[in-house]
Amino acid sequence: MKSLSPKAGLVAALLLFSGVAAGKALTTPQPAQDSATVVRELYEAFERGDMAALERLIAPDATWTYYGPADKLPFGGTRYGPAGVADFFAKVDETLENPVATQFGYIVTGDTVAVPGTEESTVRSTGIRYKADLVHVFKVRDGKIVSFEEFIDSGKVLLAFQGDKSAGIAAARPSLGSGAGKAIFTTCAGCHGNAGEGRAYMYAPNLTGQDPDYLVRQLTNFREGKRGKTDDAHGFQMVGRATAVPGPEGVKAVVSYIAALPKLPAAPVAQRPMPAAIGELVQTCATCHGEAGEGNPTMQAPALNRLDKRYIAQQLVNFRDGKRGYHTDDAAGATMAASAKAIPGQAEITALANHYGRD
Amino acid sequence: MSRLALWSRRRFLHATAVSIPVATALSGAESFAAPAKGSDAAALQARIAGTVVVKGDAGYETWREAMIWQRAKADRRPDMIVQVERVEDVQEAVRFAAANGMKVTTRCGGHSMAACFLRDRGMLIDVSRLDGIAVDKAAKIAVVGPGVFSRGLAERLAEDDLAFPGAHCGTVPISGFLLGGGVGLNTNAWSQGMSVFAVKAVDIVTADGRLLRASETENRDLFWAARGGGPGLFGVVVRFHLQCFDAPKVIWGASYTFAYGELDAVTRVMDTVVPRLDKDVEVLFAVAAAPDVAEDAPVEQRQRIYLDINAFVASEAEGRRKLAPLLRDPLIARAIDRIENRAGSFDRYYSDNEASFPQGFWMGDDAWIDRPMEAVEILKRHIPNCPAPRGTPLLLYMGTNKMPEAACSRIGRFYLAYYMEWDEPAQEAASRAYCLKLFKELKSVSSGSYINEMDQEGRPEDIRDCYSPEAWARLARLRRQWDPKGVFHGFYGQS
Repeated sequence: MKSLSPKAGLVAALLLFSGVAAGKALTTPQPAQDSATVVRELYEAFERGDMAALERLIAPDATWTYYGPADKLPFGGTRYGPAGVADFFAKVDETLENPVATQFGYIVTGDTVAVPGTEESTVRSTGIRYKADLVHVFKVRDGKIVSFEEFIDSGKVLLAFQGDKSAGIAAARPSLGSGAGKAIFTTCAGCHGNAGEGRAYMYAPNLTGQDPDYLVRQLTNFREGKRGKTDDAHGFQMVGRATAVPGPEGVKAVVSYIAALPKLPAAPVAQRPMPAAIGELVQTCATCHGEAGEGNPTMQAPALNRLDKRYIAQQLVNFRDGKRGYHTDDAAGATMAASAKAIPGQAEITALANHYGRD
Repeated sequence: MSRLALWSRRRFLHATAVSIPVATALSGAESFAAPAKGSDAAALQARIAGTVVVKGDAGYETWREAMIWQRAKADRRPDMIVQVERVEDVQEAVRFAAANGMKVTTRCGGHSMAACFLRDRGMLIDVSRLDGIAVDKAAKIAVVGPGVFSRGLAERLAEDDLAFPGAHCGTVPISGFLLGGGVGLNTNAWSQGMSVFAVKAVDIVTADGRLLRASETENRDLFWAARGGGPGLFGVVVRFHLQCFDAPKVIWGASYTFAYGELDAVTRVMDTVVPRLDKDVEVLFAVAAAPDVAEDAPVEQRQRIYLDINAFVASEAEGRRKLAPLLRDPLIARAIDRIENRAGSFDRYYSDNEASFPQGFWMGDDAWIDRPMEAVEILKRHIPNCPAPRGTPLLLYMGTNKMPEAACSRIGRFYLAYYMEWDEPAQEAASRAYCLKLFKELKSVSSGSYINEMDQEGRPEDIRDCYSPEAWARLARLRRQWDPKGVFHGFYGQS
């Protein structure tokens, strides 16, 4: 992996200070060149990586101070003017990674703006991730920032630089980012359809309207060898696709995306005449799956009236033949496997599928 | 570039309340010099129904990795990924790329083992959501979106008693497969050796954003290029018009397992017996791990030869008759395991084949071979040293068809492919080095490679050998004509 260019690093470090979208002045701004506005502009310039704006907003003789031992924290001490600010951010980038900044709001008193918040970073040299409370204090004059002071729990930062694990927090897993669910769904759409509606010609069921926890459980089962043996002809192809989902967080993200898709109509189970041959069986099914096959999340029972007939029939066969619900960790599947074995034969399976399933 | 990243960052910040994970948004940042407006990508997003993701978005890496089917995620990052929802989106995206000096590549299923669609610059257009199959049964023509999978196409066509030479792997979309030529099912009988010759027309978005029909009668140059130009094509195909065939009533087949020591004998049968079979009998063998044998066991113990025979026929009787000349060979009696009299279907074929392709880390390479005994001599020297936990050479008889005039211009009597699969990233480098060394050596007995499964990352200098010299030159000429500003990336390693 190539190293970041110095400029890129600078952008990185600037962004550390830019998480101010929700920042609000806590007191009424004072007149003149509104100090809070100037500070807000500065944060927005950070956000854009807009160097020209930084030069406009920071006075040539501005002081930029991070309170901490400069001989031990490379970005510590006081620097001067825009060039000094650039040097500060360069040092931050050299020594810290994966920064996350939080600002709670603006406290404005005349030409002074205080911004309380937190900063969370990983020290490159020690790998320790710290989270420190801080206050940024700006002084503004004639529309320019003449002084910046960062009052931070630099004792904690220093411990992290010195390899003291007591300063560390658990490293957050890198976020998959917004929109991750749709990204991951790219691997699903080819079989389940762009709208998750299912595709008969890929033997892939409708996913819409299904209980999200059930979807998470099944994706996890496919990933962990609890479903989709090679003799499960149309289930096995799910193993590779489920494995391609980036981790449990990815599973959640893609299921969240699916859960938000428009739901296809459920099968009109209540309006369907009940074939006498499955009258008693249906009582059993209803115990977990509900009277209309609507599913029951507390019983870990999926909605049958969202699935197509062929899929239901195939799954009943799979449960009965040990191709599904075979793993000791798949308790709900094992329950279903036991129930499926009580179904007399293929005729009843077909009738059940026709009763609950979508056309 | 930086303008795009900036736009993205702002959008992300607006969408996030307080806490901003910024580190993921940085890799693309290059300078501060860009103007603050930075809203070009947002403007593209506003014009299309699909999704625009730029390097710098918090979700970018998830999107990037989702573009690659397998688990080895090539370390290359396009500036922008556009997942289109409709044909007009492709046109808008291409125009945007042209206006912003971005070079375009296209992906659909992301099955390219070299992930040749992933470049460090430019725009990646994802056409996987362009689906749809419209069948004209009487004309035996199907108009198909690029995102349709081979298995789905087979199932849909079967409803109309039709078939098409799709990929052997059912989850491979037809688009990249066809554009690169397509080593498909029953191509010896159906489509002069390669599936792409059953493509009668394409609808293609060209570098200027126009949507054109290309066929034998319209935009013939473009049609020539689309039939085989593969990742070097200067356009985005958004619909394929496919010549379909009467569906076989049965795929009558058999599979035989042989000891590794029979490799010469099996190859000899491939070389001398199989070519005498009817053209609708497809025969291949793979050398793969025997089940339940330790990975460090001697190669004779841990490897087996799996010979697979499938006749695409109208009846069981016809299948039996067509397989008979092969099954009479003395080799067959020496099989250590066998499945015979298999009355198969596309469904069964794809289900069985799927088991050979579990999700893993992959790479591979291939070569067109006319004299398989010579190729196998080389293979035998290397197979014992394969460092990948699962290394699978495969030899498929292709026939001896005269190919139509098209960019797809190289083929051999046999297709030799070799797939490497591993479980840990640390096993990658050795697998790649092994594969590269072997296929450099195989060049002495090959007549080029099939672009789709070729190791484009390992030996980009040999990509030209996927084409005849004339076709290679003509592709370059047509590129200058159809894409004078270079809106589309060239082949891997060339742009």
